[in-house]
Amino acid sequence: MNEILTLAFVVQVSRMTIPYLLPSLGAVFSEKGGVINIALEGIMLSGAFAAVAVIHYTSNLFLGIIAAAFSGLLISAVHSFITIIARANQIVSGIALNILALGITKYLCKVIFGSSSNSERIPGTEVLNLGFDVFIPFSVIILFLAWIIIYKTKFGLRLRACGENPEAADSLGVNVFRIRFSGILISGLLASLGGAYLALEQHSFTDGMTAGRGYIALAAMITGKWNPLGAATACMFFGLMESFSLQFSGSEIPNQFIQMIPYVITIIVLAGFIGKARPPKADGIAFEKN
Amino acid sequence: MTDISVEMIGISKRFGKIQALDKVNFAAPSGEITSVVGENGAGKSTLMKILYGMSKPDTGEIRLNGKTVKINSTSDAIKHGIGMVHQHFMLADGLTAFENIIIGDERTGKSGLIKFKSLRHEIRSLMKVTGLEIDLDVRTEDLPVGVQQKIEIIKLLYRDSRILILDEPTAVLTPQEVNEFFSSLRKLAESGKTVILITHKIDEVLSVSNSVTVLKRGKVIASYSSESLTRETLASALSGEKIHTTRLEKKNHSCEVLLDVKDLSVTNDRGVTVINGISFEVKKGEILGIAGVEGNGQTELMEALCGIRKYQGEIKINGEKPNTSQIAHIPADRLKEGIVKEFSVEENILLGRHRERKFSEHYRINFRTLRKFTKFIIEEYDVNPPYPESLITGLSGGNQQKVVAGRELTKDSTLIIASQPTRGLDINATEFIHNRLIIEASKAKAVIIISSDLDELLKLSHRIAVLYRGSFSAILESSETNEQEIGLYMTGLK
Repeated sequence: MNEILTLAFVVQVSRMTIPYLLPSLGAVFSEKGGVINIALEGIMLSGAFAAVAVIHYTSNLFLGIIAAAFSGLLISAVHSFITIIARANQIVSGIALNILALGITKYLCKVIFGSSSNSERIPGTEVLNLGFDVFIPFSVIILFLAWIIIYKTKFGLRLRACGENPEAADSLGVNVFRIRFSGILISGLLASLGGAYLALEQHSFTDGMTAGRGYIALAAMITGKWNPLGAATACMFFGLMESFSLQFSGSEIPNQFIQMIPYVITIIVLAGFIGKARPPKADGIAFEKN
Repeated sequence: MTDISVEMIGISKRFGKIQALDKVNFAAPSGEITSVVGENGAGKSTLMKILYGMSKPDTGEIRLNGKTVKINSTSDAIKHGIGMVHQHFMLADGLTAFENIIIGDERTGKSGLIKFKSLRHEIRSLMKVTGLEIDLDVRTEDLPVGVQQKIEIIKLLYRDSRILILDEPTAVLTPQEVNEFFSSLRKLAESGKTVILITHKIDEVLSVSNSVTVLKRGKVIASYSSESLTRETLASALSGEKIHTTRLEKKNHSCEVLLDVKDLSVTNDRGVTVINGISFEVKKGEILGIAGVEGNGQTELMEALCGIRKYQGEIKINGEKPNTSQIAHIPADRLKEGIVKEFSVEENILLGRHRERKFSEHYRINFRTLRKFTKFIIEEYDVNPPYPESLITGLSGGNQQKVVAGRELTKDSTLIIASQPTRGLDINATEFIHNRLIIEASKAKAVIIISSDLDELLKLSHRIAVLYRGSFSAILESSETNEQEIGLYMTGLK
């Protein structure tokens, strides 16, 4: 067990955690404002693909990440339009966008790389030659920034008010539409960066490579009780589980057993066995100005 | 900031066919408490929503300190120093009292962070001056209603509102809380604020206001200053002095008791006791009217009788515990409780009657019988347009009400409870439903009518019970009473 506590292992857990952490923080922004963003899965996937495609053409890591961010903003803008302006069901919109992202990435992969299942190899963060993974300190900064923004700033307070009682926020002159829109855009941005990181780690894009991480990120947010620090703790735990599942692959503990733990924990939390998870009161409910 | 007086001149507002406000003039001087009274639907909330920028008037102007202003949104209103405490509190429940107070007017430092310390200090001193002391760090959902209301008022004061509009502020408060609340209101008025109180409780009007404006069906029917105001003048202004319509032939009822209610107590959603140990009986073939200013426990009484609200005490029909299939119920809020908007006329007819043999057999609905039955109701109740398959929302309110009445009154029931059965209906539809209720009563059923229309009650009922603060202040023979007398009991004067 000694090897488990080495620095290498800590770094490995961090790397496993980041693709959960960034979208999970994004989910906090979206849901604190009252909009469920289940499209995170599809946003991650498109972020991963956009990064790979642009790096393939430009060989520029930075441009690839910008492209990922842009794709995330685009899909979340669509989600915002559907849920805030058209007031359609937020879950349905999210699922539709997930299916769309799955199809489009597959199609474009075929067009660009000649195969619908995987892309060519691209360089990852190692080309920066920093000696460490730049995403690790970046994610930590984002985490604390998220906490400060949500609990200490004007925007954060208004965001939380919109998620609890949009009518109240509206009656005080807060523009509910604009605030919720911003929350969703932030969630899209963070989720797509999580997706891009995943692709950079694996040096390529493969069909459906996010493999449910967007959903686990949502589960982590719930487990973390809609609090950035709580969500981060849950993500770290899920990252740890994933590291274990790699560590123990081939041993007598079935891989699938470890992989299912995040979901089991989410169900236990939702059922109210570990404290009470209290979602924002207006979470998932469209706001209609009279 | 200086004190601001409000004038609203010639305000009119239409919603579809209904003239909600008709050239209303209203004035509220600074340093005074002005009450706006009237029944539900009289237009008082609409008038205040216009002042607060939530609704735009079709015509008319608003003057603050004599200057005409345009108020297009709530933010405009807030900028002009107008603040409103809504009937349903506007609090973000998961947030603390402090956070709720500052939403929308957060003051931040250079770092972009909210200046928690100085704001907290400011609110503390505000609380000290006004005597509205609360714990700032508790989530509002964990606070009692009285405290939530204080938060709402502090919210306005924090924004330096000079004009405070309070919509039915005491509806959710206990009598003790009401007293405390009124003394803070007086303090605020003395400090120069313009306080506008929307209410339909006459006691409140008399105890706190400097002047009163009475609205009825969108029109101002009277304005008084408090010196010239007595309970009698206000009661008669509220109940109106209309000529009695012809009284229908009321059949004599039997002496056999059908509904027997003993020591009934009911609490509202907030846990406040609103029906206070009342006892009464209704005989076979009798129509009992229940009068009262709205909010005196009518809704809760009706819900307890229908078996949809918990109660203490005893309700018995023919000596036994009632089951819901025995009760026909015409709800006061048709859209909320009477129909499903997305359903057709015949589907709405089926609601609540789906278990009846003729409509369901062998686990399926018998649509042929339903269609036939719907056509029967359409004909009997003169529903227009006469199509069973058309969406119910395609019908006017009056015709929707006929569908609901048709469904309920053709039920094989022993007790009929009708709340505001003719609200918003024209004369013909009203007359029609009145006749139906009398016919049903003559079939040895018991009928209870809850209505704010005293004419209706005098016309239909054998006896009229007056609800005042959750108890019957009187049970009168309707042949021996009149609107004036009922009005006095309604206001607790007698």
